[in-house]
Amino acid sequence: MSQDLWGTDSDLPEIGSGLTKNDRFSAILVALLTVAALGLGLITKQRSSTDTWPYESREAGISINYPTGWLTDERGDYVVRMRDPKARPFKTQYIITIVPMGGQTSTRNVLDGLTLQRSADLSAYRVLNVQEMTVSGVKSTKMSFAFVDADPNPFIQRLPVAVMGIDFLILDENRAIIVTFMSDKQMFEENLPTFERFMSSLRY
Amino acid sequence: MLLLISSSIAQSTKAQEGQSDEDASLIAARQATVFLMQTYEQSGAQVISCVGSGTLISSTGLILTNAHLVEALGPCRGERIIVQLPVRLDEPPIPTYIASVIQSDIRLDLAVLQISGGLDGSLVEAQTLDLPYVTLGDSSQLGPGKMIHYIGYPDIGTTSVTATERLISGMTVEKSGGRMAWLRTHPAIEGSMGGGGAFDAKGRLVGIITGASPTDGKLPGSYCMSIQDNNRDGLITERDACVPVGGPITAVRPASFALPLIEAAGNNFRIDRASGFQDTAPTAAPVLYRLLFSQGISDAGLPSRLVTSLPSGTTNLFLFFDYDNMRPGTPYEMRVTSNGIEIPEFGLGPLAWGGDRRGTWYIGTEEALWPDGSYDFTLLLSGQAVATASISIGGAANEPAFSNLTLGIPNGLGGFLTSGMLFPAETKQIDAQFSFSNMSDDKDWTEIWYLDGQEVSRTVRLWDKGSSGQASVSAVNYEGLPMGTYRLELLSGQQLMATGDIILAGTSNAQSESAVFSNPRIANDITRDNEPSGVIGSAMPLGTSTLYAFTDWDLMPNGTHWTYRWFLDGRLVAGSSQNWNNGGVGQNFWVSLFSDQPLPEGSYDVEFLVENRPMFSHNVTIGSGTRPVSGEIQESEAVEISGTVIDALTGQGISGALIAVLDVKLESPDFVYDEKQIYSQAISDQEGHFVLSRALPRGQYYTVFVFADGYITIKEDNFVIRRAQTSPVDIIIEMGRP
Repeated sequence: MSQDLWGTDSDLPEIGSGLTKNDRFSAILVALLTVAALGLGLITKQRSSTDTWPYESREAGISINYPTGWLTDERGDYVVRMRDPKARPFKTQYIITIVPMGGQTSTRNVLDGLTLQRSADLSAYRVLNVQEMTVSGVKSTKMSFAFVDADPNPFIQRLPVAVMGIDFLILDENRAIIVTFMSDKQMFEENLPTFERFMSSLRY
Repeated sequence: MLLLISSSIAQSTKAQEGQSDEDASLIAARQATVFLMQTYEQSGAQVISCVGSGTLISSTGLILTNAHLVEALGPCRGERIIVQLPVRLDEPPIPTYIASVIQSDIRLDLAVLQISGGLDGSLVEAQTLDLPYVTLGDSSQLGPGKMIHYIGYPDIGTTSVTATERLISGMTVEKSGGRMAWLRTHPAIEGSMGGGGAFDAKGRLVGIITGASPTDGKLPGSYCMSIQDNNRDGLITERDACVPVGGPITAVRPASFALPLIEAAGNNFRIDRASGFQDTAPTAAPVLYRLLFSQGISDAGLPSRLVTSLPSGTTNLFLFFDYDNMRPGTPYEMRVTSNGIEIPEFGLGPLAWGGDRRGTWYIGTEEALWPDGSYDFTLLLSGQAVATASISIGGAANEPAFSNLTLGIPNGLGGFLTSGMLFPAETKQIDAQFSFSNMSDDKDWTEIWYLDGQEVSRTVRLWDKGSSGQASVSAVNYEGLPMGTYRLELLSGQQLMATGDIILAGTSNAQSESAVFSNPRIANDITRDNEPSGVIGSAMPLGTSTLYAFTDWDLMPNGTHWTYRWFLDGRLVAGSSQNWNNGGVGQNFWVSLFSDQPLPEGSYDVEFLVENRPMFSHNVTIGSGTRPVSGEIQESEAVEISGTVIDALTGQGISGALIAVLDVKLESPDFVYDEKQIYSQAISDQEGHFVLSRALPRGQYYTVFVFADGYITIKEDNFVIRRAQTSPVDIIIEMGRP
C-alpha cells in the first residue's frame, strides 16, 4: 500500500540523457555557487564565533576578550557578567567574580560559599565535581555544577532548562578570581571551546 | 546570499482585538483572582480545612481576602495557606505558592496575605514575583443601583475563575463597620466566592465578597463537603473531615475598610502590645439575648428610639441585641421573614463573628423602604436559631415612645458638661435626658440602673409629665460613682422604652472628661522590665525599626473596649481594638509598631481611644519626617507589557528570545550592549509569550531590541507608549530568519 502511495524508484524519470551544453554548464554553475555560499556561510559563522570585543575593569585589575554582540552587566555582586542574548533557551553566560582571600581562607572555603549561596538561589543546584588543575601554567581549581533554570513567573510557560556550569578559581595573592561559565546542557560541549578562548584571554 | 525578511513590532491592544476596555480590565481582574486553601498535616498527608478566593493587590504577592478564610478560626487551622493561580483563565487554578497572613482584622473579616514561598518550601523573593494585580477603586461612591462585577471561584477549585455581575441592592448598617458596613447584592453569589473581589467597570477593586459557611464545619452536609479520604478507609464518606463552603452570599465589605491593612502590609508593618492578663476562652455556649428594635442609632452606638411597631413608610430599622460567650469565627446570621418568606436584603449573613466576647451589637438598614407587614427576625449561630423577635410595620405613628436618650454630666443649667458613653470614675452625678411622645399620665414607669450587670437602683413612679416633651433621670452618689459599666433602663409599665450604657473610667480632666491614660512617651527600644529604652522622645534616627509608645493608666475597668492606632503622615497604617485586660491601675503599658526593615522616614502618630473616644495622640518623626515618593505609585503610572514573539513566516512562537527595552533616553546607535542601558527585559517561553519585567511609563518613545538565535535581531526605535494607553498591553513581535 505504501509503495502505491509513495511510488518506487522505477517511477522516477530517467535523467542524464538529452542534456545540452548549456544545461550542463548551468548545473555546474549552480553546484559551484552552492559550495561558495556554504563556504561563505562557514567563514561568516567562524568569524562570528571568533570575533571578540575587549573588556577591561581597572577597579578589578582584569582584562579579557569576550564574544562580539554579548551583553555586559556590571550591576550584580560580580565584576562583570557577559550573556549571549541570542542563545536559546538559556542565555549562555560568563561571570567574573573577585572574592577576597586572606587569613585562613582556603579555596575550599570560597567554593563552599559559592555552593551555599547558589543552593539558596538556584533550583536543584548540585556540585558535580571539584578538581585541581593547571591552566596555562597557572594553578586553579575547577568546580563543575548543574542546576535547573526556571522562570519564576507562573504565567510564563517556559520549560525548566538543565544548565551546566564550570567555575575556574584562580588564586591571585590576597584574592580569588572566579570565572564562571554557564550554558544549556544540550549546548555545553559546543559552547565550551569559545569559553576556553575567553579564559585564555584573561589578564590580571 | 542572505535574504532579509522585514521584521516588525505590531501592537495589538485588546481593544483592537474587538474587546472593550471594560472587558480587558475585567480580564486583568480575573487574572489577579486566586484560590486559597488552608491545609494541615495529618499522618503525613495534607488535609484541606478551608477554601475561598482572594485578589492580588500588588505585583509582589499581596493578597486581600477574608480573615476567617486564612486565620485559625473555627474549623480553619491557619497552618498552611496554599495559593492557586489562574494560569489559564479557562482552566481550574494551579497550586503555585504558599502564603502567610501579615495583616488581619477579624472584626472587619479582612486579611492581607503575602506570598512567601513555593509549594516545595523554597523561599520566594517578593520583589521578583511580578504577578498580575488590581488597583483599588473608590468604594465611597458606591450605592444602590450601581453595577458591580464579582470575581471568584464558585466551588472547591475545580472550575475556572468566574465573573458575574449584579446590581447593588442596598446597604446594611452593622456595628462591625458602621453605616457603610456592607454593600448588599441580590440575587446571592455562590458561597465559595467568599474572599473574592467586587470590581467596578474599570476593573478596580471596590469590595470584598464576604460570607461564611452557615455551619461550624464540624459535620458534613450541604455546607461542609467531604472531599478527601482523611480516615484512610479507602472511601470518601461523611466519616471523613469536611471542608466548609459558604451559603449564598449577599454581603460585600467596601474596599475602603482594607486601606489601613494594605498600607501596613505594603510597608511591612506589624503591631504588638503588652500582653496583659490571659483571657480564658469562653467555655459556656454563646448566647444572644435582649433583642430590641430601634428606629435609629445614637452617636454612642446606642438605640435612639426603641419601638415595637412602626408606621407605614418606615425606611430605618435596626435590631439591637446583647451577646455573651461569643468566639471569633462563629457563623452568625440575621434572617428576616415576612409571612414565612425570607427577605435576604433585610437580613445579613451568614458571616464569621468578629466582635468581642460580650457586648451589644446592632444590624439594620437605612433609607430602605420596609413594606407594610409583620416581620420576624431570627438570629442564628452555627446555623441554629437562638433568638427571635417580631415587629409590625403599617398604620399611623401613635405608639408611646422615649427617644434620643442622652447621658452626661450635668452643668447645672439644664445641659451637660460632657455627654456620650465614657465618663470619669468617681463622678458624683450622671443625668439621662430623653424626649417622650404619646404618653398618658398616671401610668407606672420605672427607672432601673445596673452596675456591671447587677441591678443597683430601681425607682417606680407615676407618669405625670404629659403627652410629649423632655424629661430626665439621674444617678447620684455624693461619694462618687464607682468605676464600672452602667446600664440604664426606662420602662413604661412592663415595656422597655429606652436603654443606654455608659462606662465610668479614668480620672477627670479640666473639661470633666475621662482621662484614663497619661504620661505618653515614645522610644525605639524596651528593657526586659518593660521600661522605655534607646532613644526616647519625638525624633528618631533613620534606621529605627520599632516604635514603642508607653503610657500609664488609671481606673480602667477590665473588659472596656479600647483601640490604638498608628498613623504615618496622617494615614492610618495599623491599629487594633480589644477589651482591656491589664487591671485598673498601672504604669508603662506599651504598644509597638515595627518592621523587619527600618521604618520609612516620616511623621508618625499613635492614638489611644477608649470606647471610641480619643484619649491622647502622640507624635514622633523618623529622619526628617518627610516621606520619599513611593516607587509603587510611580509604577502605577506605567503600562504593563506582555506579548508573543513569533516566526514571521510560520507564525509559530519563538522560545528563548530576549526582549530588551532600553532606557528612554537611548536609541539603538547608543546601545553598547551594556545591560545597565536596559530598562526592562523578558525572555519568551516555549509558546513565545513574555511579560516585561518592568512596566513602561506612558508618553515616551522606547527602543526595543529582540534577540533570538537563528533570527535577525530586531532594532525598533519608535515603540511609543501613548499617554492614553490602557494597561496592560499585548504586543506581537515578528522575527525573520536570515
